[in-house]
Amino acid sequence: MSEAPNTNWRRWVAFVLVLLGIGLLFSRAVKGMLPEKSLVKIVEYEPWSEEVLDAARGIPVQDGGRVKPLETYAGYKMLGMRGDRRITIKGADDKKIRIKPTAWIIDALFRPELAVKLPTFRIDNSEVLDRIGLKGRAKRDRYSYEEVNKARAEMFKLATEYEQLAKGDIDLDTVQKQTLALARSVRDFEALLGYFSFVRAGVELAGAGVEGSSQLQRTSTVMATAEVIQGVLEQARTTGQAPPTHVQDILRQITNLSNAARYGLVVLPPSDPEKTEWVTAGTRIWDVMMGEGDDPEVAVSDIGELENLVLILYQQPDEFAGALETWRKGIEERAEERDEFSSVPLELSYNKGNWFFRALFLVFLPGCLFVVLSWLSPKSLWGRVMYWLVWGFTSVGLVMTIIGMTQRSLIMDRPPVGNLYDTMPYITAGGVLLILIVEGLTRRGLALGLAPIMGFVGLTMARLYEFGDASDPMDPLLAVLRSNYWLTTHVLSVTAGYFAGLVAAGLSLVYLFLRMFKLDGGDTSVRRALTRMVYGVLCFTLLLSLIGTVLGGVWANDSWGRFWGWDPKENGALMIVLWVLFILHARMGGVLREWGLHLATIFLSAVITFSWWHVNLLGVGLHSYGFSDSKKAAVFWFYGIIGAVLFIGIGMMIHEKLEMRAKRLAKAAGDGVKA
Amino acid sequence: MAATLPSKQKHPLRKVLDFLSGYHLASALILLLGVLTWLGTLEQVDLGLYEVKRKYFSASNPFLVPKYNGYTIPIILPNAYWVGMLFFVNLLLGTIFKARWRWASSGTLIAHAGMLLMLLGAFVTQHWSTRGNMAINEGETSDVAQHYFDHVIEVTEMEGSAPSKVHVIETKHLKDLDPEDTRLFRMENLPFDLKVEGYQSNARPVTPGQPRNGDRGTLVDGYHLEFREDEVESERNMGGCKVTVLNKQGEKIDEFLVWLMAFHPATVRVEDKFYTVKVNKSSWKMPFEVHLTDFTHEYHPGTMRPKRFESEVERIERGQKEHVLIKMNEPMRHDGLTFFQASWGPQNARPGQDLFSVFEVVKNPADKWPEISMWIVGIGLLIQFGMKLVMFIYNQAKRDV
Repeated sequence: MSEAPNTNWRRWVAFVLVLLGIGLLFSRAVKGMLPEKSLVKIVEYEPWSEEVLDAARGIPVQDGGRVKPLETYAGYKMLGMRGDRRITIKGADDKKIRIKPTAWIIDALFRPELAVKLPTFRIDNSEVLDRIGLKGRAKRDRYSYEEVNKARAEMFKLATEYEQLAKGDIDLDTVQKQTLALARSVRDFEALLGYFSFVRAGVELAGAGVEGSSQLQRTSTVMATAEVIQGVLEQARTTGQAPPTHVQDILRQITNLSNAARYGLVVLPPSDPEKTEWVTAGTRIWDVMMGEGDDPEVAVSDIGELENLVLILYQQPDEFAGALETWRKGIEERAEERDEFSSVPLELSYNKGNWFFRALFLVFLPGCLFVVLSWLSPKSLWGRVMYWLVWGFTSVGLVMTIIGMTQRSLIMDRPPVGNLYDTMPYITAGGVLLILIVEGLTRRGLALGLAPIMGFVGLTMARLYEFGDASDPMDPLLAVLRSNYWLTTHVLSVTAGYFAGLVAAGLSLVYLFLRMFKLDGGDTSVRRALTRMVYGVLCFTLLLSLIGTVLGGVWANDSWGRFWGWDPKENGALMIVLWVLFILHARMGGVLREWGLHLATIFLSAVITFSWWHVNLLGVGLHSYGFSDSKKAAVFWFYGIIGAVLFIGIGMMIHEKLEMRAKRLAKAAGDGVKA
Repeated sequence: MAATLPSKQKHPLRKVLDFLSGYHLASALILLLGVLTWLGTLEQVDLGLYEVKRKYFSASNPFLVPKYNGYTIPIILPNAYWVGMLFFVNLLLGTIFKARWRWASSGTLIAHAGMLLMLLGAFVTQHWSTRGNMAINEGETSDVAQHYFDHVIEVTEMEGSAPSKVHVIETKHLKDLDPEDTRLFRMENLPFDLKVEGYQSNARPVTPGQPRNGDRGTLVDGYHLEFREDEVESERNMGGCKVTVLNKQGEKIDEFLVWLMAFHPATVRVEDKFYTVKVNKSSWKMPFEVHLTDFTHEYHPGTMRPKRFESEVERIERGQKEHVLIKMNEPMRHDGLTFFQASWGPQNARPGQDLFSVFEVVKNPADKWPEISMWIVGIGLLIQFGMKLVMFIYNQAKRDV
């Protein structure tokens, strides 16, 4: 009875600590989403109609080796430049307007005069601006193209220098890297801004108009005369004379216009079914003028249709949505004929579902709060309501995560894990499912609290990774990975070993937490139950990790002719197997008892982190991805936290053992006195 | 009264057996293997894979001192090869003497048997597997693979401008030479002997005026061999040495430098016959010929991410031709040899230009052992943990009732 008040204040400390942890992670997860402190006002900005946005969203674009909807392409472009997928501005009458990726990209393509005013570029360090000769507003802020363009020349000069340094194996400092990244973003944005220059500018034919004046012609019209122009050039070459001035002038203009549209949207499928590469409008124009590429008639028609589209926007804006829809359907039909379209509608549905985002913020986050709230009075009706709310929310979160993974899998036409990003939702879903199974089997309420926390942490990691990388994580697989059999067997089992090990470590953390704050009220059956759970999950971890690791070896033997190449990733997987084997054997040999088992299992999370993340940043082996400094820092932070937890745990273990020894001695002394 | 051992005291041999088969030793060895794997992984960054394997896993170095980031970690650790051997013994004895031979432990026993087979497979692979690579141009045929790391000195007898017979000084006779060592090779079937001096597994020929990047050997014909640290990717090492040609009386006939990447071999004339001398990668004759009919590769559209590369080959054996397609994850296995699609070139080839394909060639008697052992271990663990899970659920249900 005398322990009750003690336990109460400890319960509050635990409550506050966990809330702080969740709050910290939450703030990291939403960091990129926070709008600017002061919104940019663009009075003339008119939002696109829903019809236009609907027509634009699904335009098939080839990027990163696959065909995807414009919405996805725009999302990652925007994320790369701005660090977020939305822009909020003030329009006329100070009305707030939220601009999402599709609207942003069609602004850049069709209304560049407005797009240049949007705060598109995130600059994390104002020193970058100092270096290129601009004045920053704050340490970290977002800037428009109009603002950055003032220092364009200096920025590109520095970027060229830094590129040369990087090629010479010189490590760039943070400001240099960020300057280089900014220059690349600006270049990418310019490729969008200038994409339809060939429509807006047209080709000026000197002396072709009335009384020798100039005449403006559509680019497609000039393309239709490509053969004639080539003939003139050929004749000039044969006679050794310079081509006529007006032909030179046309070629100069065509070169500029095609260059402006050469690096933006890769949106035109080739006519030749054997060819796999789609092209930009610029490449289409250039190829026809040079007598290369596909069927020139189709190319002229492609460019003509794009011209019509832009002209309709300027001349009959109300017709634009319909025209865009018709044009998109034409591209879709061609993509369908090439069997490259089926994943696009599915990807639109995946984007709309936004499963991971919703599971993270609408389900797992409240689930975590219910867990914490349940501690206020665990055995009352309140506690039971919270318990079932956690069950419900976590199950819904799990289903949402699985739907997202399944859709990704169908879009990519491969098993759910093929790259590092994929591992995160998979480990999250697997971990949550395993915890729910453990809770279902034991029904002690000890494991359940971990489930929403695992869901929240796992999906936050996925989100941070996606935002940090800002590149499409549905990239096609390298030749060696293109084996659905091995991806299904090896990758899924070895990654399942990760989530099982992390669940075991999580349960051991619960054990430590309960003991640290005396939340178990000295009930040894709670401790024994947790120890049994950890032991069971460790056995499961061993099974999955061992089979996964050996399957990896068998795959390597089939691909490269060696079962074991001592690649860091293979070694990492082996270390998990060895560490779990060590725990199980040391437990059987009596080397590790209850405390030892839990502390060793907590350490397992560091071993898994080494295998999952750290080996990829070593820069050697077949799984080296070149990590950013922030990811390295996160890995070392995690080691630090686990080190601190273990330090506390070992301290508690020693303290408890000394206490027990003292009690034993006191008892022995008492017995001696009695004797 | 003669002193007698107390009846409960164990025989010393029994103590040794208990120790060798015990959980304590198993735990220590597993832990040690884990630590060695971790340190070996980290050290790869500085030392490269090949050197790390030599340092951590070769039987010839019983102990090692790890390094990280260029700094020596002041501990002496046993080599993973010997730790693995001891672990095998521990596992074997533990399975025989310590494990409980009853149905309830059948899963563990099966899993241990699988592990033993896996360790045995690793041992066989380490000692009896051979690896090399074979590069073939489209339209050409080859029956020779080259070892990745082993350098040899080849002396070729010339008949006119064509080679007639090749005499080889093998890697094992060069490997242990330090740059300052000299070794005389008596060439039994040749009218001369060779004195090899200053052999280095990685070297570059330099003129005296070039900036210095390492110790240098003797000046010969205006060049030194400059000694370099081994490359992190050891297959990039370029071995070289000074060779002195001596007649059978020990008098010098000629001397020159030989180097792996030299454009031309050194030529020497003895008794009116020409011989060439060069450093080469050790060759490995195949029991059949491989003709590369066609090589195709594909990138994911608009990227430099390889999507597919594969070689159409004809395997020619005793006049019989067999068409085989070798691609990633689908090697050609034949006659105990396995050919894997490894790489190709030239990487900057123009459209239509002839390409070459590179195959990794492996001979490993334990090729399929890991797969078999994995199935055994998997089944064993499934039985063991499955039984435990069923018991747990059963007990839980009983408690609930």
